[in-house]
Amino acid sequence: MTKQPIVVHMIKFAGAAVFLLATISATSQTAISLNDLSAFKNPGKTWKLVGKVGADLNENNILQSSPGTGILINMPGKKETGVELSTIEDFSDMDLELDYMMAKNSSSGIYLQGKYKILLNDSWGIPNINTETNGGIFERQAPRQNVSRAPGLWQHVKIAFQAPKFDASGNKTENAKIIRIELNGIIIHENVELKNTNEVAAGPLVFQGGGAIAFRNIHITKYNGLPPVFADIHYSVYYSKHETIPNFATMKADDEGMLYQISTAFLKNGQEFVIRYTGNIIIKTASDYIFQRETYGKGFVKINNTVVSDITSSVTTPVKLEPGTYPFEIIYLKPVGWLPASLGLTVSAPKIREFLMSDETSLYREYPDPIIISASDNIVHRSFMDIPDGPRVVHSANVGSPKQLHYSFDMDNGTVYQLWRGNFLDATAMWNGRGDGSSTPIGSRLLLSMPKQSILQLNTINDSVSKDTLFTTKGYEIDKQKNTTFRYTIHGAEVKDLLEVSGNGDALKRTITISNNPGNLYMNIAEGKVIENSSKGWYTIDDHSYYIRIDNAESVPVIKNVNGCNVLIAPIKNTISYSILY
Amino acid sequence: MSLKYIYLFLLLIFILNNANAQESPLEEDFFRISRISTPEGIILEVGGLTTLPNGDIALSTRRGEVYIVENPSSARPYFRKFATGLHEILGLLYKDSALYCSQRGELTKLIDKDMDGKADIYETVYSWPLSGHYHEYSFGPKLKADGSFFVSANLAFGDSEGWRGESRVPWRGWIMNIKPDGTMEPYATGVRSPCGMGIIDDELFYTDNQGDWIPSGAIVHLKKGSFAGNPAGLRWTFMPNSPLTLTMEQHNAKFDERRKKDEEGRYIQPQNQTIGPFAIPADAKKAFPEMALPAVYLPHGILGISTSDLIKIPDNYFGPFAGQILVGDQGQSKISRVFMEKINGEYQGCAWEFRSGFQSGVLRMTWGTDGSLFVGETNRGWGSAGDANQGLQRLTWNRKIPFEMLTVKAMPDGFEIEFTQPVNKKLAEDISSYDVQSFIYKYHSVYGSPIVNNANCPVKGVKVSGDGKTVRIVVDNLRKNYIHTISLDNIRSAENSYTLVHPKAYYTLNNIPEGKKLVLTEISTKNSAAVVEVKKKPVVTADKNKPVVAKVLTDAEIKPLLAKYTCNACHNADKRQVGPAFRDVTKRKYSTDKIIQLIYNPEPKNWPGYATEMPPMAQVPKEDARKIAMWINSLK
Repeated sequence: MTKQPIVVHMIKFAGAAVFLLATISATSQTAISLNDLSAFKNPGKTWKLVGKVGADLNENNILQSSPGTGILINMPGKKETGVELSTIEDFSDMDLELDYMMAKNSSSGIYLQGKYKILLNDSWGIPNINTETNGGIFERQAPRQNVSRAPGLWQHVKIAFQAPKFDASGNKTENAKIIRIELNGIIIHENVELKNTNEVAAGPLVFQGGGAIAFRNIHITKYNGLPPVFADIHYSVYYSKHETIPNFATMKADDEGMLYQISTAFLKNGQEFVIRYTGNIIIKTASDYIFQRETYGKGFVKINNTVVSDITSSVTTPVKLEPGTYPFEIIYLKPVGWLPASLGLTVSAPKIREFLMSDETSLYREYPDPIIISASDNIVHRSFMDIPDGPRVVHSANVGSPKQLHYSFDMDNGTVYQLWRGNFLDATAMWNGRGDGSSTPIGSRLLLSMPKQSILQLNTINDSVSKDTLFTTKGYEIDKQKNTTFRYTIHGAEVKDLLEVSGNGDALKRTITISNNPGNLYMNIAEGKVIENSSKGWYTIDDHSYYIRIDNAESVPVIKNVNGCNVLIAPIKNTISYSILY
Repeated sequence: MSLKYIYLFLLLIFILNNANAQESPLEEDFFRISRISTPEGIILEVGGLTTLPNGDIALSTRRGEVYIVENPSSARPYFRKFATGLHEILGLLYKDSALYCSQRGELTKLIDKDMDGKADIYETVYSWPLSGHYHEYSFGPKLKADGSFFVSANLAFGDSEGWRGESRVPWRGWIMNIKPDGTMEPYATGVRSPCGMGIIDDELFYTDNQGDWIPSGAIVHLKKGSFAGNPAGLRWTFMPNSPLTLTMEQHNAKFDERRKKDEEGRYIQPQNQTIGPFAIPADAKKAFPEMALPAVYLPHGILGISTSDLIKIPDNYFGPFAGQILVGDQGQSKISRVFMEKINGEYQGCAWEFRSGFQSGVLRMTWGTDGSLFVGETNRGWGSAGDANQGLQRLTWNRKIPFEMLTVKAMPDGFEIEFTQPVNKKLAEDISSYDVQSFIYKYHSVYGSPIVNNANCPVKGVKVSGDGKTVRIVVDNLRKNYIHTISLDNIRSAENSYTLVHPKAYYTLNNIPEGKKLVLTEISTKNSAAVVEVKKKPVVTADKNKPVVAKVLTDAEIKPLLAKYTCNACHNADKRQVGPAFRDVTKRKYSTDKIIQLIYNPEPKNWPGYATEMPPMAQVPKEDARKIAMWINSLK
């Protein structure tokens, strides 16, 4: 089943034609200092700065903390009901990015401009999604997936917000808008319009006071620059084939005129052409500007007599511009008649959010239809699986649960190497066209380790290298509860490796049963930069990334140091059982 | 005198036309393709297909599902989902109450322990290494009488040499023999894209797909330790359990793999390198006795472009063809028929077209207990003549005997052709009713191969058996290790004067048998063409006085050229197949010269919607390329 290998993709025309809009954009991020509370108006008594924070999964609405700075915590109690915390500074268009940690069953939120509320709730292991779900937009929209982590673990949210716009007489011309929210690395909202009473062009960032919550790394990118505009756009088009920029002085245009926007929409279909746009760009905010083009064919962009991207490459150089009017020249060559005309030009600057300056209908883009595998029932799906910055796992069994907690098992090593929350698998890469055999988690991913054996044979617990790496997979069995037991032999021992999503999807419980134990077997339970024994049988891994709970062990696990990393390890004779919570 | 000859000539034309007017039946008049009622929403990209003892069929899909189709020949077959979530299953087998399937990375036994109709134990029989390249498909399993399985493993392609097959991990480019206890014995190597395997008389045969070192699809007999021609898998012959010791270095010392870079450090595609004289596959056999030459070629572009499953026709199935072999083809959505014989202890034989017109690429076949052939299909990622993406169809025979060559056997001095029905003796005794040509392919690292070393093999005489069912032809210039194209366009059946349903046979002559040759007194040397040729002359002379004008050939005139250069293997005038329709090519408004240039140097990047790249067609002579280009442009 083969002929020539594929070298063309839907979008990437090998060799020449297409450049996608690169993601480079110039931004300037500022942090809200959490060395003191000077950025905030009259902080209430429940708000304070701490150095360390954590939560007990059995205690509602309580965060445990220790003194210091760098973490902003709200800890309302019976005596002190929490009040909201507001920044002194007002913001309009902005990107907000921060880490937060929920207490068990806590409910909080962020008010953009003091008005538009994004809910920050403890939604750990709640499969039903509604506007109250962590990351929901208050009374407007539920998140696409529940990618929430457990209480006491750091979560990361990134909000791209556009403030409402008003004309000179104060009438609203444009609604406020959530351009995008990413929670724990996953897009959960896009393009949500917001409305409220007494809307204003700028307002403070307000943190809700009701529930126990902690924040850190609060970063804000302000987009208060005035966008540049093109003026006096003149075009001349020549329907002839050009691989390089021709000498326009000697040529007669087939068509020319004025445009109010850079566009190719009006050009003849199926023709080879070169089109040249000239005119002025009006700069209102002094800045370093990045002009990025996307063309099927070849392009050329010159701003203020500086070439910012040339015919050989769409890679762009920033150009520094003071307020004023400058000439521009844009050339688009399409030397292949049948290729669709497609031209886009975006601009961005540290205070200007990247936007498309050209006609949106002039862009021609085609992507394959996504192929999604959902886990409406427990499901095992094998595929190649790429680990970010790691190898491709070639014998990966990816196991989905309707409780929206999923995991991948490496059948070459007998290891659970990743978990994820939210939706199950994207199989587009595997099943579109020939496919590359790989699928990708859709939800928010937690990488536990690189794929390697988790049962070792050591002379003593302090050894780090196993005596051998003998391993044979025997496959897996689905039981009545539809849980999966992987079977393999390792170092001569026969292993049953049962994995269950427990509770409402709180945890992945792993139970290992061993027969024919050759002796000296150890279970590598977890690895990380820092592993802390937070309470009896509980371990917190790597800056509150996830927890390990020992459910049943023949002896107490040990945290040992290996090459500057911590390893949680326990000897096993017959069985061990532990849960991964996150 | 000349009037008389013209009269004879016209009479002959009349007879021929008249015979055509009787409408000789076609393949579809004997073998019907029908669909199987399938629940909406199931995607049957069939990768594996097998028949269960009760007549149900089991099929596996490229999306990792296994279905049992209960009562598959009934009006309403029931589809039971038996297993899910497996990795691109490209083969399925039933053995001892369990199904076995080949995933990309392992041979898996599927067991329904609690008998709820779904597999609950997915037992790994044997897991093999993978690098994770998309092209590392694995096919099989096929069962040997000793209970062991054969699994075949595709090569990956190079990162900087995307055209070169690469065995990145053991045992890519190999056939593995997996024992019931889960141990594995590497069995044979040299395979590139071994999509089809079949066990015939407990011997392993496999089909490969055209590519580097593999010039054409074919059926190859593999013994333990065989080398099938692509050197990539030789990388692992140093391993202790390798059954052969031939190394890649030894191979490449004799046959240059053309791994060369240009001044800028980029690899040069082999076909763009200037090289000396070429080798043919038989040269590799001379150099390395391990080399397994194809038993029967399915010439590329003619009997397929991507051979797949091979399956023996059981007794009592498909009438006279029982015992012969059917071979599927993905790209051309069709099935060819093969007859094999053993000469000097080696298999060889003959291939014919059998049935085309399936809805998607033919990948898998299995015999129903009702006498029909179930055909599992997919073309995802490649395209095929049948433009559906997938399919499950059924081929049934109407119990009428088509007029066909039943067998072609090699003789010391030619071939013996047996027919399914008696032939018109008058035509059969006329040596002008036979045309024999021979050719072979190059053995090189270039993708595919043109047809090379063409030669005519004059037919010197013919002996027709008393019952009119067998003819023996005496042929000059027989060449060992060459493919002999035997064309019987003028042969008619005794009854109804039908033409053969498939008048061309492709015989792979690996060995010429010893034995008694026919003597002159036994054979007819009648040659009506010799007469016709004489009176043709004046016409030719008349033409000479006319100026030569480049004229666009008609569809009928261009057809043989499109077939000869295998253009029609991937292109149709109006319909998208593996490649774009010729009419779509005209929309690009290429000049004739540009089309000629593109025939020699295709630009696949210009056709992003097509998964399979067109290889450079360097073998097309300039004047024929011009004829084809002009004809394409005439379709505007």
